[in-house]
Amino acid sequence: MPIPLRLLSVAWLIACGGVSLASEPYTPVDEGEVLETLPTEVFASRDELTTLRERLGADPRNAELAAAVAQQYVRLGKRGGGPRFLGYARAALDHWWEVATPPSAILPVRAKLKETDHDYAAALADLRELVRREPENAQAWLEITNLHRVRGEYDAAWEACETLEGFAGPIATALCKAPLMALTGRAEEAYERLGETLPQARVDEPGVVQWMLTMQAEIARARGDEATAEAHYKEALENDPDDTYVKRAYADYLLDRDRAAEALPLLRDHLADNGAMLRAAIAARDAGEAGLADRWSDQLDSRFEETRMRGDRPHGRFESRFVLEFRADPQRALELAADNWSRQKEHRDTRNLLEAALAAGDRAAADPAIAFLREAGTEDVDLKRLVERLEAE
Amino acid sequence: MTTGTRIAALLVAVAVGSYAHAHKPSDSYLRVDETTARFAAEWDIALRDLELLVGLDADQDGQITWGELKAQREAVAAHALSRLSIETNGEPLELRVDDLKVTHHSDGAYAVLLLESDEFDGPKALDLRYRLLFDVDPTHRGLVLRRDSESQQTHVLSRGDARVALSEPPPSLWVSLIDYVGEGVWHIWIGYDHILFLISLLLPAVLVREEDRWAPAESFRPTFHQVLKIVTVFTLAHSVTLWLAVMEYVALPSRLVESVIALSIVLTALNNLRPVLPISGAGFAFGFGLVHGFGFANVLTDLGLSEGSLAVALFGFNVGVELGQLAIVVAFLPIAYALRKSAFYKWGVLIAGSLLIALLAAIWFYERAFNASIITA
Repeated sequence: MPIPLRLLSVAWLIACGGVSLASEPYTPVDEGEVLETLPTEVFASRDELTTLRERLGADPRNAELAAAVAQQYVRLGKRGGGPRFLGYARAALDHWWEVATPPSAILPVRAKLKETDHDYAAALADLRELVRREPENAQAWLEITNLHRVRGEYDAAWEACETLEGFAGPIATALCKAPLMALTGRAEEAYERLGETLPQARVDEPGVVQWMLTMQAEIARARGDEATAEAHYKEALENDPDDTYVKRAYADYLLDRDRAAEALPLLRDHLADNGAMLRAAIAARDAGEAGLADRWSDQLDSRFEETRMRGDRPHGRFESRFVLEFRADPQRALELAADNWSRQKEHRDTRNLLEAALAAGDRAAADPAIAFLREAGTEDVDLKRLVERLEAE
Repeated sequence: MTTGTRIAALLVAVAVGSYAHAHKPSDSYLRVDETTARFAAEWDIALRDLELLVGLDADQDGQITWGELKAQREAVAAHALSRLSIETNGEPLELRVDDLKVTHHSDGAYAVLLLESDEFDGPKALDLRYRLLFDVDPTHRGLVLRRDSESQQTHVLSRGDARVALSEPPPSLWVSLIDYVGEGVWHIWIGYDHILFLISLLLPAVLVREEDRWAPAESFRPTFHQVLKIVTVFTLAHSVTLWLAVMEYVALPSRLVESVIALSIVLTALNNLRPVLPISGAGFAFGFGLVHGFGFANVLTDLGLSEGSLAVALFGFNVGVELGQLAIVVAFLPIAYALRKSAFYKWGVLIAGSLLIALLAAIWFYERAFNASIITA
C-alpha cells in the first residue's frame, strides 16, 4: 500500500527539518494527499470573518468596528488560529497602532496585542490610559491586575484589584482576588471564594466558568489536594474539550505522577501549540514511545530555530524546559529559565528556574526565586519540594 | 457593552501570556540560488497564508489537498509575483513561476514556487522589494536566504524594512585597479620578509668591495645605478613568476615557497658578511625574486580573482608592490648614503644588521619548513 510509505517519508522529512530549514521540495504523487488541515474553529468562522473584513474594508477608519474585528481575530487566534490572527488583528488596528491616545475602543485590544508580544509596559500604559478615561471599566482593571500578577508585582496587582472591588460585583472581584490570594498565602480562602461564586457565575457569566474551574484545579494542586485537583481538571475538560490551557496544565499534573500514557492522548491533537508539543514529547519519552519523542522534540527544536531566523526569541518558558528535558544541558536551561523569570513569574516560570538550578547544581541561581516565593508567602507543594531539595544540596 | 462581555473578554488575557509565543507567526522563505547571470530562487509560502490570500480549500472541508493546491497554481503564482519585484537600475526584472512543489517547515505545509528570470548579460545590481501579506498581517516576515554567496546570509524583511540589495553593481575597472594597487602596497608593508630581503640587498649598495673589504662608494651616481639595477631585476623576476602562478601555468606548494623565501633572506644577509656565493647583488635579486613572485601569487589568489578582473588585478597588484618597494628605497638610500663612510654603518648597520636579519630569517625558515612555532611574527 503506497499511503503508509508516503506518510513515513513526510514524517522523515519533518524530522530532518531540525537543522533550520525544512525538507527538500517535492512533488506529491497523489492528488488527494492532505497537505494541511485548517484549525476547526477558524474553518467554522470563515464566513463570519469574510463579512467582518468586508465591513472594515468599506470603513477602515471606524474605531468601534476595527476594535470589534480585532477582538474577533484575537478570539480566533486563541481558539487555534495561532499568531497569524494576532497579525490580522494588528492590521485592523493599523491606523491607530502608533497613535499615543487612540479612541477608547482601540485601547483594550491594542493592550492585548502588546501583551501577547510580551511588551507588558506598553500594554499597561494603554490600560492605565483606559481606566483614566473610564474609571469603572471592570475588564481593564482585571487585566491590569493580571499583568502585574504575571510579572510578580503582587502589591500593584492588589492595588488594582481593590480599586475594582470598590465598584464591581462579586464575580469580577473573585476573578481578580482568587489568583492573588492563592499566590500570597491565602490559597484555602481563594479556593473557597471560587467555590462560593461559581453557582452564580454559571448563571450570570457562563463565559468565565471554565477559567474558574481551571483556577480551582490549580489551587487544589498547589495545596497538595490531589483528588480534588484531578476532579476539577476533569470537570474543566468536560466543560470545554478544546481548551489547550487546561490540557497542558492537566498533562503536567499527570506527568508529575508518572502517568505519561494518560497525558499523551490529551495533547496529540494540539501539536501546533509549542507548549502542547513540548509536553507531548515528554509524555512520549516517559511512556516509552522513543520514536515519537524524538520526532516531536526535533520538530520543536526546528520551530525554535525558525523563530530565531525571523529575528524573534523563542519563549524562554518553553525553551528552557525543552533544553533541560531533551538536550541534557542544565547550564543553558538555567540561563534561559533565569532570563525568562526576570520577565514573568508565574508558577511554570518559577518551577523551570528551580528545576534547572537543581539540575545544574547552582543553588545561588535559585535564590532570587526562593526569596520571592517566601516574601509572597506562596503555598505550592510542587515548588516547595524543589526548594527543599535545593536547600538540602 | 454589558458586564458579561466585558468579563468574558478577560479570559483571553488570563492565559494569553504564553499563547502567542506558543506558535510561530507567519513567515515565508525565499531561497535565492542565482543572481549573477539570471535570478533563480525557491519561495516557500505557508498554505495557511495562501488559503487567506487566494483561497485553496475548494471543497470547504477544512483540508487542503495537493489537488486543490495544484488547481490554484495560476492564482497563487499571480498573487505571489504581484508581491515581489526585483529591479535592476529601476527596471523591473520579469519573473516566472517555473514549477510548484511542496515542502514542510516546523509549523506546517508550504507551497514552493520555483522562480526564475531570463538570463541577463553580466552581473547587475539587483534590488528586491517584498510586499507579501504585509497589508493583512504586519507581523509577517519574509526571510531571504542567500545560497549563492559564499557565506550563507539571511535577510529578515518586514513591513518597515522590505528591501534588500541582492547584488551590488560590479566595481568599475578603475576602482578595481586602485583596490589592487592598495593591496600590493599593503602586502609589502605587512610582509616583513619582502622588506628584509630588499634591505639585505640594499645594505651593501652604498659600499664597494675592494680586496675582500667593504669601502664607501665614491659618489652617488654608481650607488644609485646599483640600487636601480637591483630593484629592477627583482621586479622583473617576481613579475614573471607572479604571472606564471596566477595564470596557473606553474604551481608550487606554498610551504616550499615560503620556506625558500626565508632561506633567500638568510643567504642574502650572510652574503653581506662574506660573499659566500660568486653572485652579484643583482644576481641574488633575480634568482630569489623568482621565488618571491610565487609568494605574491599566493596573496593575490587568496584575495579572490574573477576572469574579468585578472589582468587588472595582476597589473594593479604589481604596481602596488613596486610602489611599496620604492617607498623603502626612498627611505633607506639617503640615510645609508650619508652614513656610508662611518664605522657605525659598516659594523653597526651592515654587519650587525645582516646578522640580525639572517638570524630572524633562519628562525622563519625553521618554522615554515618544519611547521614549528618559535616566534609569532
